[in-house]
Amino acid sequence: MNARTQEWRLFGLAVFSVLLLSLVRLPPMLAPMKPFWLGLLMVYCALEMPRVAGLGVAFIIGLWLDVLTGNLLGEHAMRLVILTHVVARFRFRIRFFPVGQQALAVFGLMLNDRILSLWVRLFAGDGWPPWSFWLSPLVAMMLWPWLFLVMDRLRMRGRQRSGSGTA
Amino acid sequence: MDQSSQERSALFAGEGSSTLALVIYLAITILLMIADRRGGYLEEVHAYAARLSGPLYTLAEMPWLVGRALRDGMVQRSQLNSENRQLHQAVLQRELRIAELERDLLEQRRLSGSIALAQRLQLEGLPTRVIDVDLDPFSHRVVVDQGSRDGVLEGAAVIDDGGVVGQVIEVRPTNSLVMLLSDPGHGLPVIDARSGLRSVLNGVGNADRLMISSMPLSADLEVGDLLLSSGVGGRFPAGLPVAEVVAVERSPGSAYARASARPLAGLNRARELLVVAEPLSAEPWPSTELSPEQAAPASAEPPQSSAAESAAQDPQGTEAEPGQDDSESAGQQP
Repeated sequence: MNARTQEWRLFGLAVFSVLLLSLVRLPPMLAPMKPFWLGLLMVYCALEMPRVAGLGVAFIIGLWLDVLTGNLLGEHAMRLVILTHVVARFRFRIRFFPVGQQALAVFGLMLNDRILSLWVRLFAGDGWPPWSFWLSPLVAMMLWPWLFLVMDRLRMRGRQRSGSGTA
Repeated sequence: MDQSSQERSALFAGEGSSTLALVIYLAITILLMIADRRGGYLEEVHAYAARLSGPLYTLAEMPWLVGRALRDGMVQRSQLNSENRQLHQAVLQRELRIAELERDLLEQRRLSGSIALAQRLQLEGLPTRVIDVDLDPFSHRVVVDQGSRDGVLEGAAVIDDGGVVGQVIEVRPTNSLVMLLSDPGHGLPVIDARSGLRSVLNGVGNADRLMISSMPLSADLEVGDLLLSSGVGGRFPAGLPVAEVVAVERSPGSAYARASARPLAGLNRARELLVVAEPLSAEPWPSTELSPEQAAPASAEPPQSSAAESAAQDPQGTEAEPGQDDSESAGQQP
């Protein structure tokens, strides 16, 4: 029970920070490389905290991101729902991959996400994006091990603290 | 999957994503997207949820604000900076005035003084600042720090000291969303300040280039022409400078000419902006025929461009056909 609220708290905090991260403006050179932060977080949570990261949560957070970014309502929601579903489905395979292979899997997931995003763009009549549109999955792949480390560390610490709290 | 169901102990009950749930959520998102795109039924939803946006934007902007403050402090010129900002706003206001005058001048020239210049539009500008947040590097939208509380209206034009930047597409209590000219979904009715040719200027997803596509081959548009907003459609004030034509492409094989233009506003760089309140009388630019005096000098030009007089009289320009333009226009010269 306590561990569960702990997880929720960590998740809320992570979502909040990740939303901020994705809103922070980068220098124009770097801007196209911005990874899909929320997607990365959802991948982690679907792998390690599946009680928290369900489809419903993915849906709601996606909607929120859509509103924040003035996007077509439902685009991010759809992408996150699909991402979460795929990860949940292959959870027990991806979890036991070594980090390098996991990063590759993340690359695949993010590429898939990019393709979905491209579909939506094309359907909405936004035209083809520039080539730099495809950089983001690469960056996500490179960031994955670090995100994993940080989140794991945070989770362990939370668990320890809650453990000592109940003892 | 069977592996996962094995491992799914009581601890993990309630977890997982069944395919049914996935299908339901996907259906909802797709319906939402269609509703948002087509109907615009979701404005209320947007407005309600966007209440949370203000504080988040402020937080996300912090690194830039702090960085800028540090830099300003270091060179000890905060005073200069604020002064600069004031001057900037002054220039913006002045720019608006000039646009107004330019429009009047054009109007006067075009109406040859006979029709009253009564529809003077009183333009009001609301100074605003771009909030330094990145919505999506591939969308051409920015957030500005004025919202419905400050009197921003949806559809209002947004300009910088160069010209039109875009228009407000969503108003929230403390901020609003501006779609830049360069957004592929943005089309702005413009008028050529020299020839009076009307067309629609579209974004192509590039901050340095706008396009006029599907224009008749005979259209009177030349490199260097100034494009002003024409006010067709009512919402956008007329006469604001928008772009300068940088290339006109008339390939004999295609039925239409295309032109690309460079926006006069710094779409990427602009930070201090002005939201132009809706004009009191949203009269579109009076459409007029060219007077003989104005048509005459054009005939001295090369046939391709002089042929455009016919097109200039036809705002949509849909009737001109390739190959016919020369003979047709010769017949229409007064």
